[in-house]
Amino acid sequence: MADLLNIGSSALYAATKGLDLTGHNIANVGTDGYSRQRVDQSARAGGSVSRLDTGGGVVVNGTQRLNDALLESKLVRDGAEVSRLTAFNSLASRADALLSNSSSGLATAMNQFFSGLQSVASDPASTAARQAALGDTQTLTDRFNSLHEELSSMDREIDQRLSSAVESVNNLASAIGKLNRSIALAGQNTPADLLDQRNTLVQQLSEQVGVTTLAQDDGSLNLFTSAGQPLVVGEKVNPLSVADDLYRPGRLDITSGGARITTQLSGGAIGGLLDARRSLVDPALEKIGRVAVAITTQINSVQAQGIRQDGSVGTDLFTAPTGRAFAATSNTGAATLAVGFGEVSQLTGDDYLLRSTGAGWQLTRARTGEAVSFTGSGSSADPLVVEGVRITVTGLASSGDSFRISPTHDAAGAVQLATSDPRHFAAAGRLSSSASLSNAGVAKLASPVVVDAGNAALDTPVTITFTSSTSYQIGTGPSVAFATGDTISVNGWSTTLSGTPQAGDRFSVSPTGAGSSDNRNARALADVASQKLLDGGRSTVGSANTALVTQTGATALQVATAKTAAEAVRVQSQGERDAVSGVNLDEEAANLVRYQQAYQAAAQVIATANTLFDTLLAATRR
Amino acid sequence: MRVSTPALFNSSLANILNQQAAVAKAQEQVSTGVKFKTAGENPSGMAQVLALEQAQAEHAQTYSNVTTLRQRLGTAENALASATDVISRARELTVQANSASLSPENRQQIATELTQLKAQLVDIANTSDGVGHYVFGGTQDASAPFTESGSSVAYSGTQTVRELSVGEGRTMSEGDSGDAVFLRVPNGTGGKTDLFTRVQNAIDAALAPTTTDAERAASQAQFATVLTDLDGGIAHLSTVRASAGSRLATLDDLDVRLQGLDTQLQQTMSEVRDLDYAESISRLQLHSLSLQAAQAAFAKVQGLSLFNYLR
Repeated sequence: MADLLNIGSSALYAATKGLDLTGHNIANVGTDGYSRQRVDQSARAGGSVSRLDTGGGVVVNGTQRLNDALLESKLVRDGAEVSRLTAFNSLASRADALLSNSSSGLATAMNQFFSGLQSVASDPASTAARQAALGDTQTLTDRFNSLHEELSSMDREIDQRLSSAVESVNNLASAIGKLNRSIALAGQNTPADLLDQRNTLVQQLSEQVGVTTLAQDDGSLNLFTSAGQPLVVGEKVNPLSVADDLYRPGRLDITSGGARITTQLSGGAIGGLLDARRSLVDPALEKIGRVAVAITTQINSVQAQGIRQDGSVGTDLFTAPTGRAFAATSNTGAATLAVGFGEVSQLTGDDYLLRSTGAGWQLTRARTGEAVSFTGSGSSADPLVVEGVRITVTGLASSGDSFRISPTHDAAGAVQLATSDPRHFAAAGRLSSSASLSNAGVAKLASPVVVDAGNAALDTPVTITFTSSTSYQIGTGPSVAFATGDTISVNGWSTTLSGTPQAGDRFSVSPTGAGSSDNRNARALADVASQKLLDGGRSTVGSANTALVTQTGATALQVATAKTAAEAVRVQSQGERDAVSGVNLDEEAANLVRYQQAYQAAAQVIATANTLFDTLLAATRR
Repeated sequence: MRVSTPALFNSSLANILNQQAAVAKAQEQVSTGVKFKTAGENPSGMAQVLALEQAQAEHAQTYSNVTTLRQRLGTAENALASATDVISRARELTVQANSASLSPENRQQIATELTQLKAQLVDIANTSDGVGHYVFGGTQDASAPFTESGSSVAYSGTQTVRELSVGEGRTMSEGDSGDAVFLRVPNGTGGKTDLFTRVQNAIDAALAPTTTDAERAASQAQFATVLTDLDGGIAHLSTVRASAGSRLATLDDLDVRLQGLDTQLQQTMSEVRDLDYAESISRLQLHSLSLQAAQAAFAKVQGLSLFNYLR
């Protein structure tokens, strides 16, 4: 009877524990990362070693946490990938919309700019056409500036989000460190809920940055960043911090223990932000800047071959673009760099790192680290020339000093109109030809083309007199043989003659002068649209922009697709994990009924023991 | 497989959210009428759209150039026709004046009319297109290129003629400069005599005295030269007109071709970007139906609980 009482009370205890745990499971049905628990119980043997031993009831060994570590770590990885792609995707879709939209992208503004120049060509003397073209030019510069500003603000936003992600990483890491300590102290008696909490924190942390985990014998979990630096070792935390970029002030670098690890980090939101910067924002800025350099340089150079409405030689329409150079903050020498442009068709848009070896320079491509060959010494007479970029060094660099060369990264933001006067469009050709009215022949001299704009005698009026149909003289110079189709070149210009000249025919070439409604140079300006200025003579400014829009779009599409796929994978992993660890309310309802009945039955066992005891007492009372 | 309650809830909810996103996308397409708005939705389609937009912009400009050329060449062509009329009239008057029966008064009258014709010819040479361009001024066309001083006419225009782009790298000149039309007119002796001088010569011939036989003989010879010159002038003008006419004919051709090209560009653009409404609306309906089904399933599944039966 004493046994039965013990058995009954052990059953009562076990049923109470079962009810408690069922309640705990139900209470945590909505808790993230919670693993369902159940009572770990076993039958208690009776006291005697005998075949007649009836057993001693039930013993509760503890609670069991239903959890599969492999499924948990798969979920952590999948969650980190979703988080990376979400961060990447939010920036990619914005960049895509920015570049694609006709009211923010470059294509419409460029089309309008060239149409405006065509209108000037069709009516060069019209102030209205010139004013409209100037408006289109302003719109184009505004568009370059606003694209640069929008992309730069995405860049700044990346920095802000990186620094708040670093803060989260540090908070989570220190919370994990504290849990590690509690878990290591508790040893075998660690409450299941602490493990769930730590798992959840690891999951949240890996949503911020990719980490690898290493379980220790004492139950603590060590975390390492994707760069290999320890983040949490036992209870010790090595926090990440942010510092200014070595070259670009205002841009952030993530450091760990003083080492710059930004380029090695991957995974999580931080990985996604860095991916977006590397493969989207920076390239877009560089490519837009490259188009800006090509269009402004070429338009300015065509301007110089023409004549403005006031008769003077064409001047810059845009301020001349320049590249940027950033000295490393660790430099000890006094060298400063100026970055200009040479052969624009060679421009790649890439950034370079230039390092002084003391005796000379080493140049690498910033994104890939590969060595790039260059020519020149860096002096102003012999600048370093690499892929259309000209770098001039002033002052002495110490050995080991380094510079980041950003030729086109910020060029779109620097595009500005150099004039606000619509008369400054150099629509007219620089030189005009005319035939003497008394010429006997009907030969016509084509409009002269400027070959060398730097020739000092370019604007000197010249008379060409044919001494016979096969010879001519320039001014009073010597006789030059002439055959039909020959090019006549003088003072940096050249021209051709159509028709057969007769002896005594005179032609003159002179500066076009003020007030001309000639449109030769306006047509040349408009033709810049169809000139293959970029990619070694394969792309026009328009097709270079289209390539950028398409590449950005393809990246955005790829990231969006990958994000959808990663989300599906995570749902799958979550399902697999929940199949083991998730709470099912129907199951818990059944357990409630089960434990309630067990409790009632156990109570009945105690009541029976009591009745038996009473019966015995009653029997012995007589 | 064991399914946890949150998993059941989450997957039902995810289904609803996915269907909602699909409905929103289909609805946006139907309301905007385009298949895609950004390169991210269709990179190669966007590349085509940008190329087509550029082609359309260039095309619009070419079309506008063709219109400008037609208008300016048309104005020049009309002026050339009038100039031909003037010279023909001068020739008639010259023939009349070369009649022995005319009195000096009659010849004076003819000379007066010829003088008017010369002034008319100067006016024609100074024809403007109505928006401030003198069509025979070359590239100095903001002011009248021809000015009469005494019996001679001076040209202040240039010999350069503007050309406009008519697409595919081709250009066409807007007309002819005044010197080529009115001044540089070949005479029978290998030199050049301008049209104004030729009319002036007619005036001089009409006013020449015919009192003596010697004077009459000289007058005959003078009239013969004048008539030859005027015929030469008419021939010259008709050559210039023919060249302008052939350019106008080319422009007519271009006009037709450009309109065809325009239609083609719009059609291609529409094929690349415009929505197939029938397909999209049925897709919208399909997604709406799926959404309704997902919502109904959610309500159904979430209503199931063992707790409902434990009272």
